[in-house]
Amino acid sequence: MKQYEDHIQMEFSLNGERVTTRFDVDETLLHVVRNRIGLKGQKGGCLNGDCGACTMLIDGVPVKSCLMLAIDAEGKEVTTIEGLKDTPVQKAFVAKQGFQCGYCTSGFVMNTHALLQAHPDADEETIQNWLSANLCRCTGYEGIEEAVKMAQKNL
Amino acid sequence: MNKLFRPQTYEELTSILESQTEKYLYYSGGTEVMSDYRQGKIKEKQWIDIKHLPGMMEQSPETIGACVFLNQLTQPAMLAEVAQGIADHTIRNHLTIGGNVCGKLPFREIVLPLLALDAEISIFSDGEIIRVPLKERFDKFLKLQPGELVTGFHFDRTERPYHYKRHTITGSIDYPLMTYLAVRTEQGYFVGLSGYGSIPQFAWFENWDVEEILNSFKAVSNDRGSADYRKKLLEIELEKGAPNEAV
Repeated sequence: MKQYEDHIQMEFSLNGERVTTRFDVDETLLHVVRNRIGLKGQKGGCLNGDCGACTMLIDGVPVKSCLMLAIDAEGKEVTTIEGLKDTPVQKAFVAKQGFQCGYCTSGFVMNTHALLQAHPDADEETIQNWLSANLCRCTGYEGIEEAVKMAQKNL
Repeated sequence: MNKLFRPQTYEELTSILESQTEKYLYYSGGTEVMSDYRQGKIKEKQWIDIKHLPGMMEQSPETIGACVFLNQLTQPAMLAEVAQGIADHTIRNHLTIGGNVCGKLPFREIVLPLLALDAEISIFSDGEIIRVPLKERFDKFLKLQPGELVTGFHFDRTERPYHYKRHTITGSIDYPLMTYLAVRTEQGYFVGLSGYGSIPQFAWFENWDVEEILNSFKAVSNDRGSADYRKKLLEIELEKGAPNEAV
């Protein structure tokens, strides 16, 4: 039986590379990725699962990494914004200025990327359903919506 | 928390429980636990990760494991639709059906379709798994003895006529002002409500008598809405008629 105590060392896949890192057993994935590994793209916002700024992909599925123990990433493929390079979603967010202060942007990009991978032909209802998991406190939703639709066309 | 157990069998779980000298916590999806832990509301130092136990992720025609995520619930339609109303899409990727039933939040909306489906519940108890009707164990919340663990839900996935409406005050991502589920059953009708009172309320009726149904539930007043407002919402839903048409 597996059991983990205090500090653990774990290897997992991050943005396609094997990484080994040491962390406390109660640390969230968000905390480990940002503060142990140093990838700061995903943000801590509410730390309560409400805002979506911390959204990462686990085996391609979006999750709120502030609510996930890092140890649950064992054996999984973790993707952060640093793992997406010049994707249609990122280009569309730039082209349509789908951001204002930018704090929420990486979370929106991750969720949109996962959405369009799962549902390339997503209808309006599906887009709303998925993206209502992310908040933009600048209320820049119009640009975000345009960026999602542009990315969908450019897939 | 400074120790996490990850049992792969119920024998291992039994062994962990027998060796425990301090309080422990069952953990799976983490959506409620992690938030409470960050806020210092969880004092247990030892957590038991239950999602690797046999059957916890099972999805068969008659069984859904307790650690199946809400977004994975697709049949019957009423179960899927109620699940899709809870939290947001990303959270539902790691919010489990067992967590929604057993969590501390009072809404526990997924209990409503499970009760309407006359579901049975599997519980790991004293080294064995027992199976009992959910309605025998659910009264305001799920009644579990120390150490007991929900492992799954069993029900017939046959579609039944139902009406569902989730009223909130701010938008789709919000706790319910009133979640309403009415289902045609073999004996009559099931009506279940969440957010209407301080706990989920439900009852079975032989006939669709609006006045009788309305008077069977007690509305609460809080900062989300008054009891009168909730009662009016329920009356409006009931007056739309009985759920007799197949979905």
